[in-house]
Amino acid sequence: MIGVSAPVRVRDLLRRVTDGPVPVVHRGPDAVYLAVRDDDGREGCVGVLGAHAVPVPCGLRSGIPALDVGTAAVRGGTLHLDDEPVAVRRLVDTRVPARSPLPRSGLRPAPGLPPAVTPGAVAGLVGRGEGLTPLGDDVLCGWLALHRSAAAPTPEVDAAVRAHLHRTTLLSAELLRCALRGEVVPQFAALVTALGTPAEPAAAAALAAVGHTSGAAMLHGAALALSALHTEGVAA
Amino acid sequence: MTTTHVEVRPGAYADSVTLLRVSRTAQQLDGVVAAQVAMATPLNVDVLTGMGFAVPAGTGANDLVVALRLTGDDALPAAVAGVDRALAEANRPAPGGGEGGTVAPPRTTATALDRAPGSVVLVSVPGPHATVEAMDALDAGSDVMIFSDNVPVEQEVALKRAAAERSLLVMGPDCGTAVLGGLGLGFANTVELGPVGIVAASGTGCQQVMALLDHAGVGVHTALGVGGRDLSAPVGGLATREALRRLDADPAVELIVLVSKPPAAEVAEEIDGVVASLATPVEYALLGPGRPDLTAATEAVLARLGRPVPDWPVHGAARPAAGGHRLRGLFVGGTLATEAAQVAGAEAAGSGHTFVDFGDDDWTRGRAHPMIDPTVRLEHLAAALADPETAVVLLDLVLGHGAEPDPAAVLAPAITGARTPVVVSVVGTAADPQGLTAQIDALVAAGAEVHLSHARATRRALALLPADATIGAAR
Repeated sequence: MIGVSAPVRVRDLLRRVTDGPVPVVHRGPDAVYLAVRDDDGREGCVGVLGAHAVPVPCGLRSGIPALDVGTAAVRGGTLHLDDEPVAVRRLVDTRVPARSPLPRSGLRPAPGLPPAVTPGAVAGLVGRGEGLTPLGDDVLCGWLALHRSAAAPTPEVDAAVRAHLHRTTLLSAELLRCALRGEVVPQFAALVTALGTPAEPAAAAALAAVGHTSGAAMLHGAALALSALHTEGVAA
Repeated sequence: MTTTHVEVRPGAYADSVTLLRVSRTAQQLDGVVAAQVAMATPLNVDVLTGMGFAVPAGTGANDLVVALRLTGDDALPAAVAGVDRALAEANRPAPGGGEGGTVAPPRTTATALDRAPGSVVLVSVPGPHATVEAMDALDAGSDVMIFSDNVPVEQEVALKRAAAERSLLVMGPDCGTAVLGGLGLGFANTVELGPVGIVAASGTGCQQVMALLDHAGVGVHTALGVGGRDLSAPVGGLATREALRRLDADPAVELIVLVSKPPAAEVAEEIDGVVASLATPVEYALLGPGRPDLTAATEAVLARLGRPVPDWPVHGAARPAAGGHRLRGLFVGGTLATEAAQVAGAEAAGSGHTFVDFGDDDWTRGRAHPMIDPTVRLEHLAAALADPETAVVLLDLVLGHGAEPDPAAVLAPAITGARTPVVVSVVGTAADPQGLTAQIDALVAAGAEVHLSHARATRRALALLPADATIGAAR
């Protein structure tokens, strides 16, 4: 029995997955990512994360130091890894905290990274860059999640992102869908909580340290969103 | 004359750190002019194509592409072997779980918080040392949950005043239960995330409310413990005030429930003032003489949320008592003992009924809490069942994180075959690790009558007493 903490949506998604084998799309000691299809035929990606993995909002978090997984299957609504059932023991909240109106913040976009997110820029960002979550996607995730935090709708960018999800990795597409819904890694949630407070620099540094470029790219996306929203007058 | 080599590895997992390290290692190999290792997303494929690499058709976004430019074909075997080695090494977990060997664990609260600033600190060192650790945490700007008991009240006041100056929260001392954004600390049940926020001066009281709400399909987003003395006159509700403010500021919380013994009179007025200033409605569940029990309070919460009150489930059926005249209540939950005594009320006075809390300091000195170690209660249960004066036995069974892994497996054999009727209230949720249904089934198979509502269980146990029980006891 593998005990995990699960985001509510991931738990509910797994309950809707039809019984049968589940393809493993990425496999490593810190995480395995599975391609799942719910009973409506919608494609998605669910991770089983080890103790050292980034706690992505589409992941089941376990305390296992090093994963060694061969096959995955769903039986009776329960995920099994190499015949061992994965039991949801806690639920975690992955929603980005609400910050409306947005406080003044010291965050500034980083030089050398994409300078703006617009509906037209999305096609040049989705799937661009190194890593399992390409840098362009991480920038978009930060930008989208900060808008969700400020309750600022972005229908045109959302539509452009949805239209390009097939152009990136399954995991990165799932994380973009998470960001569209306002679901984030804990370090991003902590940054949003700390915005405009003395804790902001430490929270920004902690986010920037996530992954190799992922955290820094999300931070950049958040900074782009903040400057756009301040210009639009959504902020205090 | 350079040559290129493009290799596709389907389904290879590599995070950005790994890929960068592999790219860098590959670039340093003999005979390698340039190396790109990336996921084959369309944009990355465009970049590789622009660099003169031919990526095979049908390569998907979830595939890993290794693209090498070499000084010549003879460099290929060594370069590919080098990439293989770098990928294998990158995917091997580092000894001790981190790069560069093990990191010594922090030895003080302050150094631990240096590494994880702003974290909630859980203190469970022996009571006399808890204040120092908690104050360290407050100084570093963190909220604290003090699981420890035996913390002097004047230290509690000092901690909570220091916290109030910093707008921080001290949960406890003797705080057994908290749920922070769905994550349970201490003895906590697995609950759905929902509209209710709880401020609780009582751990098992909080758990009973969470369990009943869970059965009614209502989730709990956050439950903040404040410690059993917080609403007493000396402490003055310092933590309760901060906890109420926190839940009020949280947009996920639609209704706040305050679970406690009734506050001291002078504190009640101040708390009423705070409650009146909040935008979020507050429902009181104050357990005291003449006040509603926790089940009635939960029903009021459901009514306020506009949710139907379900039938509180009962499993099995105990037979009425054949002899004896005493109700023996043996509990692991302090609030559950108090609630049972209160429901029995006037009926219990002079009747010889007993309501014992085995989690009380008198029973736990030098040993674990009965929710973890059932030995002492089992001894008293055996004695109560053997006592001809015992008419009915009333027990609680608390599930959730921190509690025994299978408490019914220990309790069921102790009541199997008992002549005396046994009523058990099981405090737990469907998703608790012990399995609510399995626990209930084991107790019913052993002959017990099992309730989810502790107040209902108590009323049922009273109803099972022989008609002349009270008179018999008074003689």
